[in-house]
Amino acid sequence: MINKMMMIPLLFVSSLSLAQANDTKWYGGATFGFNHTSVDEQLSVPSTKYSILGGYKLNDWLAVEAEMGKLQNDTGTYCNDYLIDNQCVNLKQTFNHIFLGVRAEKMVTLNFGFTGRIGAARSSVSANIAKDNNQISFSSSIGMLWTVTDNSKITLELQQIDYALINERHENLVSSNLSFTMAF
Amino acid sequence: MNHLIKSSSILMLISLIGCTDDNPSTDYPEQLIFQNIDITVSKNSINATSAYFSNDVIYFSSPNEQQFLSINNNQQFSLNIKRTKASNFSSSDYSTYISDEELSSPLQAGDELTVIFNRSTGSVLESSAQVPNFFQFLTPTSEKIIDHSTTDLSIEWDVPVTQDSKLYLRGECLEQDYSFVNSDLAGVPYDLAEGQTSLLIPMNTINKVYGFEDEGCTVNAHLYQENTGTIDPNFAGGHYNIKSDSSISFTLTNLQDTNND
Repeated sequence: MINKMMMIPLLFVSSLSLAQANDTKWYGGATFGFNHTSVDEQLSVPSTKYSILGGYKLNDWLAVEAEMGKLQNDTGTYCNDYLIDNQCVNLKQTFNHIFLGVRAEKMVTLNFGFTGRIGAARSSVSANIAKDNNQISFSSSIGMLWTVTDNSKITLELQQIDYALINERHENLVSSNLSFTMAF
Repeated sequence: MNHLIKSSSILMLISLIGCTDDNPSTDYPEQLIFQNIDITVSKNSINATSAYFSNDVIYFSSPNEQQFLSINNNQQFSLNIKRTKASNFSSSDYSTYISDEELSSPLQAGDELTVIFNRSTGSVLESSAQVPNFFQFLTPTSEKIIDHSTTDLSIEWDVPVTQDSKLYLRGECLEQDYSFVNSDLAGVPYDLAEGQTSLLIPMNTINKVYGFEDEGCTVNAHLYQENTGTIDPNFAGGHYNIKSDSSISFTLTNLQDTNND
């Protein structure tokens, strides 16, 4: 929880994103990131995340964007008290999310700018021995972008998504994401 | 900017305070939790222990976590459950004694005892077991006085015991293993073979405890019959053992005093 609170101000500080060439409308790319999970939470989502994203530019600064992502699979062993017996169960969890929203960009210099997006994310978790869970909730991100070439960008941003957990609860997490996108 | 800093500080303080009373174990889905129930019933009382584990002992801090014991869906009792973060497990934290005054009627073989666990997540889990048979003692008769220096102690009951049964003699004058005081294992144990309906304890084979001055004392013979219940399938596992406790009282005198030999 503390880590999350500390990351919120950072959300306003850092990020990288990709800028599209003015004459192209479509863009697509990939993202790699880390969730900032509190260490004292025993049932949390895994750290590593991957996604692919794509969008359509409505004008110079606004685009409609979609993202499909997954987290690293999570496994864990949970056992009865060893003094009673040696019963154990193995939990395997798979986390996914789909995002749909709009992205805004504001270039400050020729090669550097700020970006952010808002929209809805459907997060879901599937488990081998517990009930699956999913939820649609508000999601946002904010960060910075650098143009690499006329048609490619790097984006570093902080992203907030409410992840579904197998205990039918949810955890609002912030992740640091590095994205590379190309216009086409 | 000052306003932003103040607001952030207040938010962080609230989250810190919120975390101190929160027990992460209450977030576990029941599919990761092992339920361990041990119940001993006499015809007029119930001693129930229901504890929950998942890697470490789970101490439920949430006041919304409750468990009950239902008898034939007619009578319901609240069962103890620990709510603190203490690191040492003690079965007494999860044990509940229900006396004859609380029971509306004596228990009988076949009565269904259901442990109902209401979780803060809204899940309701039910684990059930049936009360095993009670034994009727044929000898000795209740309140009989037996001189064990001249007479064998013969104990007989009506129904053959099942596998791995034991009979325990308990009394303040008996030399016994005190590591099991106040448990079902307390007393002087006698192994029984499957199908056995009697036990003969030869004269002068029961020792008097050191320091006991009287000639004899009241002794209780306890015979247990165990059944296995069914844990709610939504739990990761565990066990539900229920034992019937049949007992009879008599007086033993002139026990062997090994300390004066």
